[in-house]
Amino acid sequence: MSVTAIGFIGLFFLFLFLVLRMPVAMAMLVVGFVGTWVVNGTVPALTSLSGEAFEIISFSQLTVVPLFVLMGNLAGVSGMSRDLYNAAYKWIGHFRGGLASATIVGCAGFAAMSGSSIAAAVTMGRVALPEMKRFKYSDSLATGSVAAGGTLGILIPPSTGMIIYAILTEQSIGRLFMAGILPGLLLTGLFLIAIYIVTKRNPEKGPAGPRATFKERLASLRAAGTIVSVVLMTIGGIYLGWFTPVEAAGVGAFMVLVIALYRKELNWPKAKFVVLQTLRTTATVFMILIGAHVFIPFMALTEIPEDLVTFLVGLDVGNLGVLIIILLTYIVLGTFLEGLAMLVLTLPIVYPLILQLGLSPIWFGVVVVIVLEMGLISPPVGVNVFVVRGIAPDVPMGTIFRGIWPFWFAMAACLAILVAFPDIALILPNTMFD
Amino acid sequence: STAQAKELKLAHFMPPVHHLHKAMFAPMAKDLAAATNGKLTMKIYSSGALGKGPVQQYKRVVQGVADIAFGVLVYTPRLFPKTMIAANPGVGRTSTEVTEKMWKIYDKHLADEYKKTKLLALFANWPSVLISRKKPIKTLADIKGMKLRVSSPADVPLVNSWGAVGIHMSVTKTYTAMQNGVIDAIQIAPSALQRPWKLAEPGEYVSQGVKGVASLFFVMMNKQSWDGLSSSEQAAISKLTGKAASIKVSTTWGGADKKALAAAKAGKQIQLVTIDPAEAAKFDAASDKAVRAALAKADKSGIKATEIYNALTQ
Amino acid sequence: MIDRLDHVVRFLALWVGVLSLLALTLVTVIDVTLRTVFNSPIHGGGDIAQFFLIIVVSASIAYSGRSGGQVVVELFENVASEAILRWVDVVIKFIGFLMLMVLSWHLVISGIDALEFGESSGTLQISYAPFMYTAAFGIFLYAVVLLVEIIQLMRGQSIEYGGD
Ligand code: NA
Ligand code: NA
Repeated sequence: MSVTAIGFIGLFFLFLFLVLRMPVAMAMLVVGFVGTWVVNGTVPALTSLSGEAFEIISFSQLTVVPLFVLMGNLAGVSGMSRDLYNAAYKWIGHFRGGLASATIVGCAGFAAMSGSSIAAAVTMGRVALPEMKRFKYSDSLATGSVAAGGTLGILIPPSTGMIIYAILTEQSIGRLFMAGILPGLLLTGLFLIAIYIVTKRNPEKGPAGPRATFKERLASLRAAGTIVSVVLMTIGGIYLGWFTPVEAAGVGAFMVLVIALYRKELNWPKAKFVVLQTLRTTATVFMILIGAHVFIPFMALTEIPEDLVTFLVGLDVGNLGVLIIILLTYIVLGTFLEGLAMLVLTLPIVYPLILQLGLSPIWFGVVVVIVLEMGLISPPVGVNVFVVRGIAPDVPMGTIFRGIWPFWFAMAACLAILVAFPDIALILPNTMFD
Repeated sequence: STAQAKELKLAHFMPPVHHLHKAMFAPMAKDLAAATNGKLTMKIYSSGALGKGPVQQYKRVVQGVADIAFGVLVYTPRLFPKTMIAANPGVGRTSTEVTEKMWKIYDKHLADEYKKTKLLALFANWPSVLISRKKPIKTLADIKGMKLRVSSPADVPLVNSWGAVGIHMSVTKTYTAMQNGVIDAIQIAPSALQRPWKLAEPGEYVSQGVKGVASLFFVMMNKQSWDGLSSSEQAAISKLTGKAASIKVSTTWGGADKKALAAAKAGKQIQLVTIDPAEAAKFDAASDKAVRAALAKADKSGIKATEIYNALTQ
Repeated sequence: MIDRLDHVVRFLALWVGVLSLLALTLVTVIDVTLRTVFNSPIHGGGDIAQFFLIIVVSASIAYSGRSGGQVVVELFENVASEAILRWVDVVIKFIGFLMLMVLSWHLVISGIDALEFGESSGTLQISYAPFMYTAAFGIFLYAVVLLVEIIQLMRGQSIEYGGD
């Protein structure tokens, strides 16, 4: 049997296992191991298996994962998300749709401390949803803005999605983080525009909130200022080359810990919650990476990725055509595939293609993250929608999905702008010291 | 069936644009196919496609994950304590010279470190120079107290003997570290001044004239894969590898270092400092003392380290 | 049975997690401070962080499995009867159990062979063997989790994946 045939049998089993609800990491591990065994023999397969697993578990750059996740979780329980929302609320809450806008801005701020979109949606949702309910916001706009705002968590640095992309493609984590900043701000702006359009057409969906006094506004800024300084230290420190992303994560986690202790916000139940959450997310990322690193050498052996790349590059649609095919495929896959799963399953094929097309891998990392964000809120499987539903169980799923469309189109617009002007993503990484 | 074409898997962890990929692996694959009329070919898996990172390269080739693997000795220094002696200062002034010296003593002293594989190439890069920022290194007094980055933990005592503070750090971090003043100077091959590491940008001065340390590299083949080849196939590989091929690759690679030094001499981006011979002798005397101490320690652990070093420096 | 196992897994994750996350944070902060303020970084600080990383990950894998941290593709949820789904679950978990046992066993072998293949940390040159055993234990614990879940499913009980 040819290696290509073995490769296709492997892919068949991969999809079978996934359909039968085997965890993605495990499916890649099993197919990668057995496939390498068949192609390469027992000893090489076992060596690859344990060798790649340990290479990932001991990969010192990946200390960035537990540290940034810890920082985000600490920020989540220590009331910092409330401070952020409060500040945004006090400044823009009195506009039409202002509370939804404050949610988006709060999410963007929280995203600068947390690498996960779920964490951003949960933390900001708990704070913002009751407020919007109180001011008679429509359920669709309220839940939609939380679900969509939460997705900023993986675009604005830090980002677990970008870390996984960086490790799989051997790109610099720091550069990818920097590349996410401006597109993150752009998307935040586009979300605000989406809210403006929705409430302009249906003012009753987002009535104006109370107007805060100037004194209240200043006080809210002071509270949020602590968070802003943590963000400037960590993200700014990476940009200026003061420290590596790993060190920034350690410094950030330490600062947030000190602030939480100083404010007496951290008790033992909260600490337990933070630690266990951090470990759970850490293991999720590591298992996915281990699975991918056992699976990828098998795919390389079968030559399937190579053949597919050759085929796609040979299509008579031009580079832009191939790129559009890739992005549309991702958007379709994203409707029903979980984001991290989609990333690790597709990158072995798509990444060489991107290199072949001469596109910037850093820019593509940002683009891929935005496509993942679209998947997070699109039906039938939208993880962030499920998360929001968990916080607001009385709102039907259909209502949440209806609230999401304006934001989904904002993401599509952001994607188009980035394809047209790649420099939005590349200007910061290109000017950073590293 | 011997009539069927065979394909050997070559694994390395660098991108395909790397000098060694273009100057060594790709031509090797092409020449092998030509020499065997396509019966025996070599497929190159670059960028760690068969396995992540440089540390496990030796394991991968011994265990047959790849048929052929490229690796850097310093990632697993304990496996090659005898060969690593050739990385010490004083063995040679150019990459070619160090590589030639290694092969001169290979049969007598080094061969038993490669018994588990078929060694295809063993070569050195250009012995290190000192790149500094702010202050040019002209004398021992200049380097005293400087945070000096070294590429191997074994080099820490060596530069400490000059009064510097040796810090072991991966080359990928050196640019930023030098820029921010985390380190004051870097001990590295001169080609690092240019792409991809571009150390001429954060660096202001490059000092030569002191005996430097080299990095050592291997290309190995899995024993079973080698034994599975016909004698004519083995002959075809032998022709493209071994001592001559090692010396050749070290020479072409050294061309990049010569170019970098020439550019520095012309004052492009960085200023070349040639340490006065009398002062360089002081550096070398201190190094020699540190090297001798390390060798004496290695002698006690049962390898004839001093004898090997003497054979290398004759 | 699964409750007792959950207790062990959670206890381990919590305490190893608290200690090694704190250690990881402090090592990083101390290293940065010593370097930027006192210009003398910890010799082998990266190695030490790496060791704590291995410990964190090893302690977290089984907990993640029990608390629903594994990414699953939810495609066809309600197409088959509950009995069929249960047996599919048993088979899938059993494959996973075998896979993890092989991985755990070979991590032990790698630990035994670490010296032979020169696998040790970059700066301090500390052998990876004990850390390979640590990782092997973490993987083994996850295998045990799957085994207990299989037994539970075969007894006709359902499984809860709950975490904090
Ligand atoms: Na983020
Ligand atoms: Na979706």
